[in-house]
Amino acid sequence: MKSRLVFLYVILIFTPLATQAQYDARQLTDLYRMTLQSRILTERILTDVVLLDNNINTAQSRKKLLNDLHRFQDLSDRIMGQVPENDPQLARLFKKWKDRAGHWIATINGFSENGENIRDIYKLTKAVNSSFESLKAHLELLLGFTNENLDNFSRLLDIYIDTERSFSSYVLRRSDKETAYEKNYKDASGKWNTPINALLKLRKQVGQKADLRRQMNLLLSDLLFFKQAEERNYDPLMIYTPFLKFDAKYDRLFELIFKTSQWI
Amino acid sequence: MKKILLFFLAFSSLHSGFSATGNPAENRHMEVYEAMLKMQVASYRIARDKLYEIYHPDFELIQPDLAEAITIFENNITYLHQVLTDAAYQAELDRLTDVWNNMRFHVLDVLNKKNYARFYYDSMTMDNLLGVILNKYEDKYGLNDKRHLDLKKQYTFCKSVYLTNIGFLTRKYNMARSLHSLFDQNIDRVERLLRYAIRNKYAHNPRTSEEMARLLNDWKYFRYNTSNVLFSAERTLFATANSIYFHTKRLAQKLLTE
Repeated sequence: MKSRLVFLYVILIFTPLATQAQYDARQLTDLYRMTLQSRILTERILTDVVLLDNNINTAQSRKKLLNDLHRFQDLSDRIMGQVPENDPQLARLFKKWKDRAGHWIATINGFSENGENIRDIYKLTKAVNSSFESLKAHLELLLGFTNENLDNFSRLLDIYIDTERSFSSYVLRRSDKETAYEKNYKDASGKWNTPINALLKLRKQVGQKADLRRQMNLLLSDLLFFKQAEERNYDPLMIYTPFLKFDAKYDRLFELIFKTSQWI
Repeated sequence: MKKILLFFLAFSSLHSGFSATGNPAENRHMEVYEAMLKMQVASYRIARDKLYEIYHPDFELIQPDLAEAITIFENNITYLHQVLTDAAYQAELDRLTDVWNNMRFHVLDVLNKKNYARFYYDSMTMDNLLGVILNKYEDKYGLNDKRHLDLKKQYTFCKSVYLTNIGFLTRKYNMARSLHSLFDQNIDRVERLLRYAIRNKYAHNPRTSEEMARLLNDWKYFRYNTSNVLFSAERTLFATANSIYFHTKRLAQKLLTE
């Protein structure tokens, strides 16, 4: 009996320690943050491709595409350096994502030189995003987020993705190019309301702190401006610079949310 | 249309265009100073463009020009936020951002004879707000030497040209009566500033004489077209005002790098 009690005692003491050694919450949160950033960059790069393909401010768009590709590559290297070795499933998911991302970057590099392979880029983007969704789901399971947090993180991402797609479709609707991804962006057409509504909901949920609220208000002002520009039928070049600034404002919001550990 | 838009955006003003002296702090002050002056000019340039939109809605230069003016604001507001990190400026920069965000909504409004004056006064509010921040910056860093004052005169010159353009159109179409006097007031101001430039020998300085000659030429052409009765000179005035701005910026750059 005594030996059984000692055995039970040892199991109770050492099991939490073993579990703790497997997942460092801080490391996982950092990995999660970087994974979300990679998704944001994926969408940003796709928009750069659309702008370049439609000859919108070509010199600046090309430079931006190359910078964003470099950032993505650096980020993916840092992500792979942080993947815990003792979780085979997580390691497998990240490897799959990295392989697909590598192929995607190589195709975009080819595009930036000769303007071809738009259809391939779109297909590969879908594949990278699909890997991302699997990764995100697994990390969220490990981190044990509440449903409310999950909704808020999804909303945060969707605000950016829907904004980029709305701008791309705004550009494509005014162009004569027929490309593989155009159909999907036409589906996003006129949907500035989607990111606007998502931002309003997010602001209601988590916009209590002054700095977060201010940053969200700046983004909201930009989105309303973009929507109005399209409704008044202005050329997308009118809002090109404000659109570039939107990226920086969104990055700042993202940084603030993780810095203030609002939901973590 | 796209090529014209791209041309304008390629030459759109960023916050920095020169390296004046060897002193980094001095150069930084000059860049910040110039960023605010550029925005002051851009606020009246937008007002001018919106006026042209009422009477010449198909004029292909309006949208590229509006895009360039918006770019000037967006780039320079970002620059000021990056550089003026002192807490004393934060409230004012936040206010400037909010006033700009409000103004740019109205940039997309469809204006007419009746509501144009309100838009013009938005531009004036922006100009005044920038003036307050500029004065505060001048006082704090003692920027009352000849180089800064001359730079201010150069940008005041550009502002006055755009205001003359606005005054000309409002008078011609008999709208916004409070703005009619802009024409005479600013013609006088421009002439006075040109005389100042000539007295300061910009016309004889080998580095600046060419730019000065172009500027004088542009102004004479602009002035001639304000009294041209043979044909409607409004589009010519639009393009010439922009040309004057372009040459004035180049003149300013050359003077500052002396």
